[in-house]
Amino acid sequence: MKRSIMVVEDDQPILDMMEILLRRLGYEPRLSSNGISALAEIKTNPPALILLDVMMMPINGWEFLDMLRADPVTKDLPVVLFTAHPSVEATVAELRDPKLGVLLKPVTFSELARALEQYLGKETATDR
Amino acid sequence: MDLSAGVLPQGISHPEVSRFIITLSYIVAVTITTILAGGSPAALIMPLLYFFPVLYACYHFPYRGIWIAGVCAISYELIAIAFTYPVVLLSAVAVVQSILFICVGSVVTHLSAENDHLRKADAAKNELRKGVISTVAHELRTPLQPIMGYLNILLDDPDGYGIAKGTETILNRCLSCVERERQIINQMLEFSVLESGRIRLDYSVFSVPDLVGSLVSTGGYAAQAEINVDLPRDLTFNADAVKIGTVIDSMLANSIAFSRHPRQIRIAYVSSQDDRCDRLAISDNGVGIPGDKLDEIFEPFQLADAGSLSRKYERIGLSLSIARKYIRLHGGTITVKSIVNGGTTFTIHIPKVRVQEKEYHET
Repeated sequence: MKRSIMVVEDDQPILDMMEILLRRLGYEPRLSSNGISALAEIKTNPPALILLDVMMMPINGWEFLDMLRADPVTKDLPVVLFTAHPSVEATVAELRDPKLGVLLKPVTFSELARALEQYLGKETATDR
Repeated sequence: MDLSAGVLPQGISHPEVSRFIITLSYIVAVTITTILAGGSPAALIMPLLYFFPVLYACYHFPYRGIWIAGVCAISYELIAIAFTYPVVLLSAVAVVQSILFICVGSVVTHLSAENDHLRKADAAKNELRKGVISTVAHELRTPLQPIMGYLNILLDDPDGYGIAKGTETILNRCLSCVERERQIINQMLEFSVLESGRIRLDYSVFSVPDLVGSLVSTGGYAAQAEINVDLPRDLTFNADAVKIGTVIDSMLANSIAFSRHPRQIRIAYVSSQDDRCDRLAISDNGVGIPGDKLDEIFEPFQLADAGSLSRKYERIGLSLSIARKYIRLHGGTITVKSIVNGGTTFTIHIPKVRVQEKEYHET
């Protein structure tokens, strides 16, 4: 069964592109351009991993992450912040959250494939 | 604003100046009063009673310490006066000393406050600069993602999208340009962070042959040039592996870009056991650099013969600047030897013993 990846991103061209890229990499893409509706959907049907934009409306990536971690159902889901903001890397390092990663835009097809394998592989190893 | 233009010399902080002046004033006051008191027991004992409170105040409250010390000095003088004679002479000395003490304290406090103001303004400007850099980087990088992604999608399955061979070549060229654009933005960002922010080194002991092998493989350099690696199998560095990797990668890319067919690059360890530094030499068979341009190549956005070479090789002169900054952070240096039309050798010198970590300042 294909592992599902939820992309939360308010930039439509990037969202459309991620759908094609993820499908080609063998994942089941789930897309959302709104953090609030994405949270509701994740709670009823959690994905294997969330690719989360940081600068978006109506709630930004950090607010989304706070709400996700505050809910016992979703608090352990792995999240990769998908952003072009260079400072996010340092913030993520300071948070020391083993289920939080960062992927700096723009990424190539192969870089995305490597990063997803790495994060999902780490997750599988942790679960064991 | 550069702090060197501030009211205190660079490298001397206001608490250091405060403590120095307070201690000096204290010694002068005690010496004069003790001499005038003719060795009275009270005059000798009293300084000891307030010496430690004053020191404590100075070290913990550099500004208030000035005033606390002043009040203590006046108290001391008054008590000393009560036990010694001639009263009139000592009173006059005490008053003059106290006034001088408070005047000096006032000047130092004023200078300290002014310097503190400059420091705060400088920190605020740095924060603003970082914010602007971060936002600009975000705005420049975000649009590249769909361009890069869609080009990847098309080029991953050209037949599926009905792309002719000629069109595929054009799309590949577009992708190369986008990747170059990304590299330039990343380099500018890296350079800005190095210039304005605190960069900390993440030291670890790592295998140099493994690092070089990984860089050659990931960068696809073996396909572009004949790469000869001459490193001891057990060679390790105690340094920041990521930053040293960035430096070697920049050197390799630079050497390949400026070498000539048949491109030959050699990476060799050229240090001996007695040396205080580990040395890695990266040589090419390229166009070489004129002697009068050797110092300039490490300056940001500089290339020897910038106009023609940067157009010919499509490079901007930032990678060598960044590389030198990273090596200097380690307490090392990069040297270069070159013969026009005979090739260039860059040598990275890294101290074998880890130097004390400090904030990077370019001079």
